[in-house]
Amino acid sequence: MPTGLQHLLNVGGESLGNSRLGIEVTGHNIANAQTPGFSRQRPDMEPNTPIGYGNIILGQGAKVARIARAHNEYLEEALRRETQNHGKAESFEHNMSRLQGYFNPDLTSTVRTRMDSFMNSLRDFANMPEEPAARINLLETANSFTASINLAHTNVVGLQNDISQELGVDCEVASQKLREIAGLNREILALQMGDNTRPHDLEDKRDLALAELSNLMDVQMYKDDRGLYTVRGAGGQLLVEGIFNSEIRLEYSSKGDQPQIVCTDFANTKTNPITDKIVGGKIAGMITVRDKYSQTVRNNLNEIAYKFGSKFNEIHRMGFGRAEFSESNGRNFFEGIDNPEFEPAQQITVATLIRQDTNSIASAMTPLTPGDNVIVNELLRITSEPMYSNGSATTAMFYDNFVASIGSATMTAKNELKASAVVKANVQTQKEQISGVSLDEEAANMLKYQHLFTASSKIITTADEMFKTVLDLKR
Amino acid sequence: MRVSERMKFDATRNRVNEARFFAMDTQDQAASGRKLRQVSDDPSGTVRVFRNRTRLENINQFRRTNDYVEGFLGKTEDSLRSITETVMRAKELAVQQSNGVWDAGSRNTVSFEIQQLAEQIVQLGNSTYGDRYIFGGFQTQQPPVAGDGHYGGDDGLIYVQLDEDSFRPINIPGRRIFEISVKDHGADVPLLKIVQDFKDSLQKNDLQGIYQASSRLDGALTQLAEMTASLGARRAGVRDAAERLDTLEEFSLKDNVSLESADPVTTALDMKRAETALSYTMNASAKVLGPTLMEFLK
Repeated sequence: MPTGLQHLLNVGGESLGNSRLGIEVTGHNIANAQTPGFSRQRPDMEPNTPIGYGNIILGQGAKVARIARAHNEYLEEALRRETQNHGKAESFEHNMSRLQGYFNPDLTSTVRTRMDSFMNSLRDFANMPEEPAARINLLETANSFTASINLAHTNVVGLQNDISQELGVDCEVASQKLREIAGLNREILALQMGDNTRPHDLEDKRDLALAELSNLMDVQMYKDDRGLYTVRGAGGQLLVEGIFNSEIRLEYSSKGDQPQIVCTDFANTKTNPITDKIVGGKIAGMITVRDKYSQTVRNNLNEIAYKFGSKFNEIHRMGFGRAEFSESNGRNFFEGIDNPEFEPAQQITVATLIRQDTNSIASAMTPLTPGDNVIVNELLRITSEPMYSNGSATTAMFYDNFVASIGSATMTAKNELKASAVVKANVQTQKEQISGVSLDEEAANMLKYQHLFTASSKIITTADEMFKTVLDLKR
Repeated sequence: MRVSERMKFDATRNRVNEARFFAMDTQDQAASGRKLRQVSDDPSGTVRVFRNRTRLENINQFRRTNDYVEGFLGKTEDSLRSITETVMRAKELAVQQSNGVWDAGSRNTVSFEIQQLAEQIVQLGNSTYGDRYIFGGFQTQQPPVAGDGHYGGDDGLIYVQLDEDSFRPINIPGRRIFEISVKDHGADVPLLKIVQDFKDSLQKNDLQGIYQASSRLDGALTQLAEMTASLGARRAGVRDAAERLDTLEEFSLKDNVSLESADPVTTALDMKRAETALSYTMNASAKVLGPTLMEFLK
């Protein structure tokens, strides 16, 4: 069978369509040049199956076999991993900076400085136990001292509460992302018909949702044979499978403990606690600051309030006061520290009686001795008493040590943040090299397809002229 | 290597951001003059700064205590010296009057001086420093030497803290000053009574009594000498502590300056560096971001 001019028209026509498609894909790429998560697409052209004509085999023009997506799954996975690390480093650094801010060396109202003032007014008092002004001054500095402990405690608890609130929001965002991934799984399942017709833009959206989820927590993704994502996280919890997803929530307890993160099953009928199982992402960073570092500071402040206050009271109770209190002893100086479990750092105050009448402050070892300062000197010795860390640290040392350990942790966090940002940026660059849109390249493509379009139309006009010539044969 | 649009913009953003952060940080350091602005800048240094600050704060307090103690000891020394001089004068007169050449009339005249000396002893024994009776031990609010010369104070030693690790006594309880132990008498005899007995003996022209007074005044002088010596030791201890404070203060101040303060030369150089880096980054970005192939294909 001889080839006909009709065939030539078909080849030209198809090529015209191909080049128009090329321009369309180029346009799509340019439109999405700055869209987060978008992977550049390109039309994969291939020659049509040739047909034999007698003793020759003749090509049949070209067709667009598929629209391919420039994408690398392994880089995508590496990016997710680095996003997790970076998310964790970022939230850890951010919250540690807040925590260490309360112990900034510029501050003059810290527990440390207020304790120094308190001790020095105690020294003044030791010089002149008869002097009412020394007693009043002692009361004032004692009030500031307890207030500074109360404030430090309030600050730390405030930070913990702020973190919990942010965790609540992030859990909602995480659930949102899980729903999004499951939803996209459903849409992809509906649209795709074989390998050549994958809905690339939806796949990009799904990868983006997964990357955003990775920023919040550590997740692992498996692709099933239909190309749907199964997502596990927080110690192997099933988060998304096909078109189903679980929810992540923050649950407040009635006992005043820190609110915990739970994960539901697909049917939303039962929940699993996962707070301690999240080891990556922003949420892990926040939990570490809330439950480890802030909690340690909080416990240490409670320990200081309890041990220092109790020791002070123990000695103070032995002593006698002035005037109407010069023959009686057994009074406490601090209140609110009876039980180490009840947040003594929040409760500690100067005892009511002391606040009402400074003559009740004890200074003397024996009754009716106005110049006796033996008890005051004993109280001063508390500062050099190693009451903490198994009898190895004084109050000041104990305080210094935990401030230094917060500082060191923050310093490490800052370095880790820098490192993780560099690593993440590197992987992102690698991904962009493959998937990103280059306007220069698209400009060249546009020109390329435009020329193709022009040339294809020439084939058609040429064929048309040839038809005309043939038709003109019969005149 | 392909360079995508987002790569171009992200890289520019990161670079500008980095240059800006460096500029801001050096600016902050220059404006505050401090290199220690957060605990994480130097955790162990922060702890040292804390300790030095406590030390400096305490040194101020120890200085105040020291000033007070100096005054207290000064007053004690003055009073003790006057008491000693008074007793020495009495002893002098006792030695003089035990000589046979004096008659009853002259002894009677001397007895008036002795009466005055006795009054002086009571006055000096009840010396105060800032409303405190200095010889009363812990009994600082009532005169320790009663009208009959008995010591009414107690033996309380007032210790005060003069540096980080030492508490030192600052007072001399008056018992060993105003109660004199005598060989021929079981109980201690008040100093005032010795002087008053001396006066009586003079008035009665009782030579035996004058001899006894002379020997008892010797005993009193011995005890006073002991007390003066222990007062001297107290003063030396206080001075010693005060001198150590100066050395410690200098060290702590220097240490804190080296830990906290930014070096002005380094900071100035850093500022210049930051400025240059920032303007270079900006200029380069303006040139690189602009042109695309689109503009050249017509």
